[in-house]
Amino acid sequence: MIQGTLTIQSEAAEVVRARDWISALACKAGISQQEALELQLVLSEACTNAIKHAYGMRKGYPIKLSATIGDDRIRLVIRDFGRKMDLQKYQKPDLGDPPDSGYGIYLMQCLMDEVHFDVSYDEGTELTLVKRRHKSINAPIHPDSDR
Amino acid sequence: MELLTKKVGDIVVVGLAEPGALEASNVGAFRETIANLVKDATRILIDMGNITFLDSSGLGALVAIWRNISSRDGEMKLCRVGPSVRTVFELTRIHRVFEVYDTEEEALASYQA
Repeated sequence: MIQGTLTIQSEAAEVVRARDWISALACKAGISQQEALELQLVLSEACTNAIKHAYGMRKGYPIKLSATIGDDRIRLVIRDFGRKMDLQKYQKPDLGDPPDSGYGIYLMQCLMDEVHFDVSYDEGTELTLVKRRHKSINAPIHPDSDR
Repeated sequence: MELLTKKVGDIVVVGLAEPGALEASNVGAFRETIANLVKDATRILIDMGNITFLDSSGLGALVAIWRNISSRDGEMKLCRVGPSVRTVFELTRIHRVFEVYDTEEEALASYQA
């Protein structure tokens, strides 16, 4: 099992550092290239969401990341200390009439088995993303299935 | 982010000068540069060959450019989409909206069809 933690600051350039970090962990864990790419994508989306929505694009605030890559599952935790996530405001993008924003959570839901926002803390949100590995991680994507 | 651009007839061809990501940190510059390039053009081909990573912000920028061009009865097409970008396209079904070609030559020929 491979584990790691990282704290980044709330600015877009830091997301690249988060992506490099998860890529290095994925490499250490020996997971497939496709799996690694998917982890980079969901982590990017989670960090960008925290920067935009929790911190309102204000720089210099912490986002704590932790990752566990095991044989049976992968778990990512993204913790911010800004405005709490308001899931009532989330709308799945209308893929028939594609919008020019709002795909972040949708992509996380497509690629991970569990997407859980915990807003029970005094401040901020803890997002937990879990991918179970007993099913084929390289299974073909079925974009037609409703999620 | 440096973009390479050229004109083939009335088609503006644009792509990243070097391999890199199209993501939240640089998407603003990408969107602005392309908006300027296509101000007076209605046909654009985006060469995706050097885009090694695309996040939802990058996808949103492509949709915004496509909407802009389409609203002026223009055409935006893409070529040389790599596997990581294709994953995002397929998950969001955007490959059904965008015209995507394997090569620049095929894409350019499609405008003349």
